[in-house]
Amino acid sequence: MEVIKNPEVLSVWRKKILNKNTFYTHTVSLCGGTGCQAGSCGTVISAFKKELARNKLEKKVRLRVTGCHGFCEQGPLMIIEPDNIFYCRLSPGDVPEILTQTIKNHKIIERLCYTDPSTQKKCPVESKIPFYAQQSRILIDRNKNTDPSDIEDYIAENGYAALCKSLKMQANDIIQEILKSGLRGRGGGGYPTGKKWQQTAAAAGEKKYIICNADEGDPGAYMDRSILEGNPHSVIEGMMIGAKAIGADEGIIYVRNEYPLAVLHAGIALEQCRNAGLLGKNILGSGFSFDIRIVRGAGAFVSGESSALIASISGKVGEPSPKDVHLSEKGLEQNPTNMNNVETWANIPLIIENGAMWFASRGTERSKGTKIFALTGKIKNTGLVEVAMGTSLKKIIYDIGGGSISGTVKAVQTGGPSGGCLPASKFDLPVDFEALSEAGSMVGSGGMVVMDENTCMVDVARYFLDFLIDESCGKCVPCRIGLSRIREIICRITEGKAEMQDLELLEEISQTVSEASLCALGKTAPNPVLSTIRYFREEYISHIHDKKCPAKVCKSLIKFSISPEICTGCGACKRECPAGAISGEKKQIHNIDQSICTKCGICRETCRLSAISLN
Amino acid sequence: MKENKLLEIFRKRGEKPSSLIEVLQDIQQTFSFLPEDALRLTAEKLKVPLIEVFRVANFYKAFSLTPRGKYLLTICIGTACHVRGASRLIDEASRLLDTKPGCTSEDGFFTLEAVNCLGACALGPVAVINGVYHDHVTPVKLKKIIADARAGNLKAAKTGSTSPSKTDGVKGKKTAVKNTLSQSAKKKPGTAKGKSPLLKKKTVPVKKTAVKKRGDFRWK
Repeated sequence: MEVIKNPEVLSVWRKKILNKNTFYTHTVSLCGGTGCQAGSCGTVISAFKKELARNKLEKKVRLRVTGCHGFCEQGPLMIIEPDNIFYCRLSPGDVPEILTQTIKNHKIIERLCYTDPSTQKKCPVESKIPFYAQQSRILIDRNKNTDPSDIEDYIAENGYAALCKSLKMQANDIIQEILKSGLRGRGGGGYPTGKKWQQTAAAAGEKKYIICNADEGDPGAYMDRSILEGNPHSVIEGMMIGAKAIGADEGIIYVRNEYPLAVLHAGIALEQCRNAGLLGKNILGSGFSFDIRIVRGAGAFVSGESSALIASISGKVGEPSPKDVHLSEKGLEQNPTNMNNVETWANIPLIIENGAMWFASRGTERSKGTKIFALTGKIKNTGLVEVAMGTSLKKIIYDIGGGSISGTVKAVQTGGPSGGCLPASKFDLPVDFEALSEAGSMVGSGGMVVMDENTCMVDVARYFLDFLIDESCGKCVPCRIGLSRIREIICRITEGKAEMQDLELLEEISQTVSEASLCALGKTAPNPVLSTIRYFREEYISHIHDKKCPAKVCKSLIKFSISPEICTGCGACKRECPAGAISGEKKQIHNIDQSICTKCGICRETCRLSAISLN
Repeated sequence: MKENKLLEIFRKRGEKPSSLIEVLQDIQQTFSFLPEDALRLTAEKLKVPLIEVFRVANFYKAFSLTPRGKYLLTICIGTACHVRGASRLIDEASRLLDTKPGCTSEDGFFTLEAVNCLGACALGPVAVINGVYHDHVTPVKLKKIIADARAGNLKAAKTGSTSPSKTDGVKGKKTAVKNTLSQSAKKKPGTAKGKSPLLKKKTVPVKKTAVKKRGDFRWK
């Protein structure tokens, strides 16, 4: 790879790449994201390579293994260009047919197309699938055109053009552009990015740092991973522009160790940039020098908090510290530091390239642009969804997500452990920073977990408490002790041992924890409890008063029993029961001994006649 | 040999206090846990008090102070997996392996680990055994996964596991129809039934012992 000495050489390189790509008749983008990898896409990839070689099509058809396309529910999936044909749920056996039918003869294989569950119609074209058609995919859409380990793909997509533009701009003009765009931090806080940059740029200090926070710890959120994994160059370019604006010469990507593919791809991308002269000294002949290194996290949710993250980079225990002095003044090694999350950085090149007005044309008054949400839980179309800020929850859950698997959606949990649960009656709310906060939840990093009538809201509150107690660093008392006390009360409720006044006590302790904790983890920790009490009070009451769990989840309040009318005495449940709680002779009606039953539910899963009921 | 490996790690990461986490990560990767003598050497070389090294090793989840088992069974308990019943998997795995999350079974064979999110939410509940992902796991399926690993076949349940996940789509329905036509007996998707014959063959011996010993079932 030759070293690019100035922007003109970069343009020449881009033209060369685009010219090279015209030799291909087809480009097959196969999703190789973590979601599809878990769904065995690796076998499809190797089968495809083998078939291409067998048919001698390697020079005509380009196989591009990309990052996450977003529609994880349907994985492994592929898009065949130029016709935009979308095939899903692939297996290696489908590959020869794809080559002979679709690529050689332009015939669509109906079996592999996506079926719209509401109309039962086949959708062979990606852009017409309701899940994709109703989104505003600006960031995530770039994934399908990019092989993350190949810088040429990114360059072909006009990559590093924004960098060239920004190198000619004054630092202050770049900041003004970001301010005008109205971009707000996508990591959860929603602090205006331009303002943050302004503060760090103005801070006194010779040495300044840029940090990309890729410590995405929220369970149920994986958009940052998908960007860093699928399009690492967009993050790197964003950081370079930020460094130029702020006057930093060193950048750090702090990434979770649980994301090995993201670590790998970011590392490859950095190496390619260095080889091409896009990182290092005197970038593109502009006199601007900048380099980035990767620091791997070691698994601690609280380390995603800015002051804790700085401690972790320094090789210390990742505990938050009081924020009397802002990071923008004294951050890493006491130097001014600017930290933004992955999605925020990935937006920067697009804003510089297309202008602040282009970005601000989407979204609401105070929340601009688009946001990626991870739609998960009891929903038909699980995956990553990118919509304009201000899109209603209803549209996201029903139109894009396709509604719940079982029929009704009871609630949606947004914002991860710091957020809250919103009931179906609030689904008209526009998704923006303010609207969700007012309703007792938050946008957070963008996790949306959909819950149906089989999800117990008290159990959900307990789940988040378990998570937060586990992840609390234990430094401050309100968080460490307060959360444990809250959990004790919630456990009493799920066991049917609570009194009505426990609800008031819950609210009181929650208030103390949120007011007195040191960092955002503790301050927002009671949100899942408070929001479920606020919107699902009747569920709490039926646990406390009637000793019943309406969703049939809480083990102490449920009972498995065998219906004598249906049971044929086949003995399947008896064989599988781990506790040995089921008795009965062959061909006789079986019976569950409630005193031994551990309520694992294996018997119910095993019974082919659905004779076992849950009360 | 061991010391050479450690010295190589120190050299690569730099002998300074700020390299502590990176160094510990490399040690963890090399030895699959953090041996005490390695921690002592780290403290000495990086010029960090031993208590601080221990504190960092204890704080982060990626580090383990005891040796890990031959098989690392990771169960995702992220929110998306939780609402689809991941807690039942933890209960079942703890019972089957007679251990608890974060610990290793007495025979040193399995380490059970609960993680807060693997980011494969669409496939939840997810269980990973030595890097092999299993999707839409149920307690019944988990039992098979453990039994197969025990029999030395990590991917056995995997080949079967892709078929139930497909049954909710139209494509899956088609295969279900084929099953009923060809085998005349209707098989319920998602249960241990309806797997490939290959899988059945491989799991039979393990299953037999499991049934015989039921009641005081232990992997010993």
